[in-house]
Amino acid sequence: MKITILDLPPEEEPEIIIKCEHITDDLAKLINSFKQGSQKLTGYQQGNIHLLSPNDIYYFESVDQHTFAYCEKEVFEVKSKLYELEAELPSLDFLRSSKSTILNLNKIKSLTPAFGSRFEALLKNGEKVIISRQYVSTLKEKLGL
Amino acid sequence: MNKFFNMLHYLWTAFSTVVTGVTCVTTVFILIFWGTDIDLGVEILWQILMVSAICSLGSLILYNEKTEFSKKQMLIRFWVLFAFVNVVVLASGYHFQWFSFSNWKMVAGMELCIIVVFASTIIIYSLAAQKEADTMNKKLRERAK
Repeated sequence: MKITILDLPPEEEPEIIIKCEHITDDLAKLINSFKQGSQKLTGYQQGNIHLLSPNDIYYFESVDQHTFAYCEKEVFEVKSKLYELEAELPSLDFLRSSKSTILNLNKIKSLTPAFGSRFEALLKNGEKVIISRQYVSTLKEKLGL
Repeated sequence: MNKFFNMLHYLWTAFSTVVTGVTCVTTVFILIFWGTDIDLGVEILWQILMVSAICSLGSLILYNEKTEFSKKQMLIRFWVLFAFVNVVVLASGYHFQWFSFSNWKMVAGMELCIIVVFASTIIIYSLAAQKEADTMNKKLRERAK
């Protein structure tokens, strides 16, 4: 891939232009990382504030109007609603897996069929999250199927 | 529109699976209880198609694009579907004189046929879901590389 960096007059906003025949998976990841930048989420735990990297979050779950971010071992409350997170998070990595959960695809170890046309995702930390049938087609799309 | 086609695809898959199963068990049922020296009219084919279509429509109880069912709800719906299929097949079978309620062996045979087709359909769906999971797991592994 050819990379060209041009000098810019100080009054102009920096801009990234990607020239390609079509957007490949690698390119999409790159675009996502540009969009995401060094995005951090604010998590709350026992009165303390933590900055969370989306890459460290396994899944988000909404319980009784509260949203929680589940990391490998710890759980943090986040103030955003699931639909807001869905818009903010890199779409290639995160998937709405049910009405109350958003799942990080990079943290899925394996998938197994569950009762009622659903799938159960076994995460790398051993937790299991259900993917509702309504969201299976989106999962397939994100996996390139 | 896409949802409508998804539902049609779901119904068509259910219908074709059920018709295949019903045709197979009907052949065995006729052979056992009516023997080989029997003249059958074309109407039996229409009866098979009709009963299969009604049973397939009943499977919509397990299908919902909008609502997420819990495992308990799915189990209840599953048994409701099984009861529905029993009522449809036994009532139709009696109406079309496939069997007589006075002959307990025929009733038992009919019930066995229902269970075989019902179980076969579930097994076929489970195998298809497992294949789907395997394909997605393969993509997940590729993604992790």
